[in-house]
Amino acid sequence: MKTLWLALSIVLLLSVISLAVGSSAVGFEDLLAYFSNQNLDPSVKYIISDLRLPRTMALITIGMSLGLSGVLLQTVLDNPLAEPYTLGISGGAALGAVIAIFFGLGAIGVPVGALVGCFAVTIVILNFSGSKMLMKSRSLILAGIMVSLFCGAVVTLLVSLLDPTKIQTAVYWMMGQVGTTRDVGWPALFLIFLCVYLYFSFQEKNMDRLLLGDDIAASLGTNLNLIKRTVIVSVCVLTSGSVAIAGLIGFVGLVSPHLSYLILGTRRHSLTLTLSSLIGACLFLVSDILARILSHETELPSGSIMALIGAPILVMLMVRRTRYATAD
Amino acid sequence: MLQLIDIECGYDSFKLKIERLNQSSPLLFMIGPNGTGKTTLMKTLVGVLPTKGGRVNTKPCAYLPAQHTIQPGVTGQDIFELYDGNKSKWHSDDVLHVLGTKKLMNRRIENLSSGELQRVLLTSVLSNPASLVLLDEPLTYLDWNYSLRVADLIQNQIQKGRHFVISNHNLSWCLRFKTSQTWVLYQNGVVLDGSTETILKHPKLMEIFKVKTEITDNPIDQTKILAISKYET
Repeated sequence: MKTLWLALSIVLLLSVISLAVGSSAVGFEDLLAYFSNQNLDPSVKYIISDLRLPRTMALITIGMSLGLSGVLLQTVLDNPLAEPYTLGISGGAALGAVIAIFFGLGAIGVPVGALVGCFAVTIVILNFSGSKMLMKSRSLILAGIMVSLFCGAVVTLLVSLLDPTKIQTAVYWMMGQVGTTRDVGWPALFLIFLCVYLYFSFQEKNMDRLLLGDDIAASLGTNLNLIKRTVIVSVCVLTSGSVAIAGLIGFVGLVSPHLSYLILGTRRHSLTLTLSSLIGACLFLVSDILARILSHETELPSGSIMALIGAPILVMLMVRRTRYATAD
Repeated sequence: MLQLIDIECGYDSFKLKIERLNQSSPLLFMIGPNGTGKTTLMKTLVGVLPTKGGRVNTKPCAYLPAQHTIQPGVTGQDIFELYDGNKSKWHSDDVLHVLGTKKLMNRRIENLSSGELQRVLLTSVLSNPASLVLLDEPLTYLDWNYSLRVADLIQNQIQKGRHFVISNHNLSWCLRFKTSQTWVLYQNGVVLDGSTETILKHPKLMEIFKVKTEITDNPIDQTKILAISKYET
């Protein structure tokens, strides 16, 4: 429990920093003035309430969504490398978005394209794998990787055909970026996150039983098909929401669960569901704050900063695998 | 006790058919050569595999699979708790003591030897509150001493009213129990059904297993053992 409160305080601390850091000169003092309801310059007020607040909330919500998705997938698929990428869900989202960019659909078209792509891929994978193969998680991952590769190839082809003005939009999308007008969509994603989080906190015991393997879980009364389908659909919704706001964000979904197993020393879901979500928020906040500090003129895409932080952490974890839970 | 009526189960490549079978003794053994469907039947009884029509009455039950797929990072205590070992009606303290698993409970499964993990699993399954227990090859990885201890625990729980279905290859171990029933699986079905001693004397048994068998006295204690030898045609 202490760990969870600590993680929550770190998230709050990082949020304050995230509200006070950026390309404009608005800093901690303005922030203090803003929250104590003092008279402020309207432009300062605008920067805090209309730019940095939605951005910070988007970071937290997306980080939590991906951190939660990672835990759910890793347990259900019995695979330490599972995350939305593994199922091809992110690949589908990228394809949908790039198609929208290709046809010149505007600010609304791109996130809608991502949503459609996510759901299309999920339906394809679920039908591909059918109910029999769903029981065998490895075939599901194989189907996911195939779909991912296919989408990746189509995306590369489309991007190479784009005219130069659109290429930047497409590339930024694929690297992941907050701080756009799409940030305001965070309340919708937050609501979805809350539903998924509460549902699986309620299903905590069934999720724990999945850790004992499908046969034992089923013998103890867990409905494998139901819980696996619920996880896949939930992850699909969370991922498409995240992608619609910020494009493709890698590593959060992969690293957050492993960090939480490492810190807690257990894989029981009563704590990991919460901690992995909070760690996801922390990682995304840190990478976006860094992205803003490192460059003042043009903002770096926080998704690529995330990968810069995430990749070494992952390698470090793999080297020290004996100390925590990894398969094989 | 177990009752099977018109069961058809298995996979595309392997089907098992059972018309009508009853468990008449609280201790039931399933034996048979490799690949005759012992595990398949177990999984069907547990409800992991579906049956095409027919009826099985096994819920709820405590099940030990032949091969586990427990994820790394899980501890013995996790396994025990998830099997509802805390709600046991079968003296789980005794089970923990006899199987020597108290000290193993805090370890992660990847830090346990195969035999230690098997003991942790047996502790958890035998502590589950269900009154029907299905054990698929429970002696795998166990040393001689623990094999005998498991037999004692099972005998104890049978006296308290628990029912067991056990698949096993060590018939001398099966003969340690005073009374038991045995089903022999062969050629997509159960071909022999009867008390264990009569089954082990059945002339068809040698054909099925392709070995010579004979029941003799155990010179150390009062039990019987099954002597086996190569089968010459």
